[in-house]
Amino acid sequence: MSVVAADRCSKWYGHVLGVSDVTWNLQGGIVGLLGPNGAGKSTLIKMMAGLLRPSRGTLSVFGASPFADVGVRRRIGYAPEHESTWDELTARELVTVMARLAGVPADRAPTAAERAIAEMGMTDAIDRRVKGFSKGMRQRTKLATAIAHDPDFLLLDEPLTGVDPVARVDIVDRIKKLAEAGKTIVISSHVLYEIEALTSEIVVIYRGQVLAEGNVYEIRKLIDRHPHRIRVECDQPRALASVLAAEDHVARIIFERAGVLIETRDPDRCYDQLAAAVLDKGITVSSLSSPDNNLGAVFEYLTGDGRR
Amino acid sequence: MSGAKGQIHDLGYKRYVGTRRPPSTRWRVIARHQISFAWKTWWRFKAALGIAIIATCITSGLMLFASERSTSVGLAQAIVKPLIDSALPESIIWFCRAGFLVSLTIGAGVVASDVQSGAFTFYFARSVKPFHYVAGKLVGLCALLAIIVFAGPMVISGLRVGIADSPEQLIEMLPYLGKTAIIGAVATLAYAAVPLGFSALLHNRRHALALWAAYYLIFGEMMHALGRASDSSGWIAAIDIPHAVQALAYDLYDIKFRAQRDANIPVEAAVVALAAHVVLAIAIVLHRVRAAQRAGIGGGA
Repeated sequence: MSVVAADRCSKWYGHVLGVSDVTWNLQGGIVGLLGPNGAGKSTLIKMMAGLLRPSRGTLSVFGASPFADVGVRRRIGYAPEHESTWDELTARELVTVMARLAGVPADRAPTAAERAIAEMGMTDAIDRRVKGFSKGMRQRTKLATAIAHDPDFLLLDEPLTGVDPVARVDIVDRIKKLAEAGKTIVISSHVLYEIEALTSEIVVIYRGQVLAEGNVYEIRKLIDRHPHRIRVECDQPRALASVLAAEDHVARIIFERAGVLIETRDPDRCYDQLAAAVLDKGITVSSLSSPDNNLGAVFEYLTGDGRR
Repeated sequence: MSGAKGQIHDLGYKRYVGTRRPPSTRWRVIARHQISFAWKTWWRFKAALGIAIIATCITSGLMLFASERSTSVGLAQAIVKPLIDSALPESIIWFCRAGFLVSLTIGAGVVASDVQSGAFTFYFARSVKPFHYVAGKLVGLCALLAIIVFAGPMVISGLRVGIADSPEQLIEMLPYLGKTAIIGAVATLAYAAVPLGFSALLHNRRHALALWAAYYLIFGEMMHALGRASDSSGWIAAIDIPHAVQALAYDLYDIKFRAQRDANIPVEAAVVALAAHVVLAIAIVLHRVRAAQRAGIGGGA
């Protein structure tokens, strides 16, 4: 059974479109939900959390409607984007209440809260009020509230927003650990490298529609009408360009400060010819990279398509 | 804050092993949280509790130490009674004021502040239905208000029964406890449900508080004044909550008036007005919370 099954799912806020005609099956693992602000990520996450009912189509989590079936929400852990809730409580109190609201009995909830707080590396601050927490600590506390009742499915809406780089690495590590423990995780972000650090499985959403889903590299292959870019940093960029300029698969060559950026429609052929040219002309290559292996490039292409 | 990076790997992930409570018990969690949250700061609940304690002490003191002194209840138009019997009916209005204070610091902001802060998402992303939420909030508020407007009068009436001159008088005074319980329960429900209804009308806590304060202090007082001026026999004046509660108290404690008082509220009018307030408030809060939950309100940044 799919963890999430959305079938032509749409959501309107009055006349404003939140999500449009989304059909999506999620089997497990970590999936990154990518899109710019206002793309519909939070709407889709709220529908999966049972906070919103689809205006049209169906969306089920573990085979049940999360909006109608309160029972299935016990299996869902949701960390919303905002965080200004009950700041006067300590981390322990907040997570305990959340665990109890999710069905953990009163006698077990404090232990479950302590465990969740420990999972997020917040034990030292467990009895401090949330009011005095830094952004990173608030994000960790929010994640602890989401996992305290041991859900099978985690929905994390922008969990790394505003977190400093050191805390980000730590939180990413902890989210990965939760996935290793068998939890299905959907994590949203508009910052591409955050998702890249967590997973290569992505769903790109733009203007309420799913533009692409799957492995980021497979998605890249699908966009064959976009030239693949290869950046070569070398000592003789003009010599290298002169060899490749005549090739029909090369769409464009851009000179950069320390080399050239080649745009090609046939990456395999291009790499072969690059190697041959380097050997023939005695070019010293200091760096060879493809910006297209970066999630950012894929996202740029896809949302660029959406805008056209 | 966080331990060493490897710590989590040593800790591992331990699954929760144990039972889970059914969703129908969530209202208890919400009620309990409401009470513990109110108890957190001095100004939110403890200040009103202090006022209620002072009211209880003063009323008890009057009953004990000035019991034979006579007083006239209700602007000199009631039958003159000794303080030992008139102190409690007169003190009801003090407890109502303390109840109003709690409604300002907690009750009238409950739903609005949950919507405003985004707490709705925390509730409804878990196995909580709107009915559980409303029931939990109402029970929590009732428990808090009961400490103010129920417990205080009950202590005083217990004292009144306790200082009876003879066993016969003691037995005669026992219904006093039941009457006080009825007044306390009605006042508790009114001061819990009505502000809760106002808190659901607007999505901004301050606006909801202002609306409730305006209704209670200005509109209620206006209705009371209008009742005095009109020939409605007190039905319009019964819209004013504290006067309706006091009218009920006067009736139950058998305070008879010499003449038709200005804005003398008949007990039927007081009961109908208070019941209508409570029913309407609960209907409003249920409707508004259901609507807000369906719309996904409170989940925004």
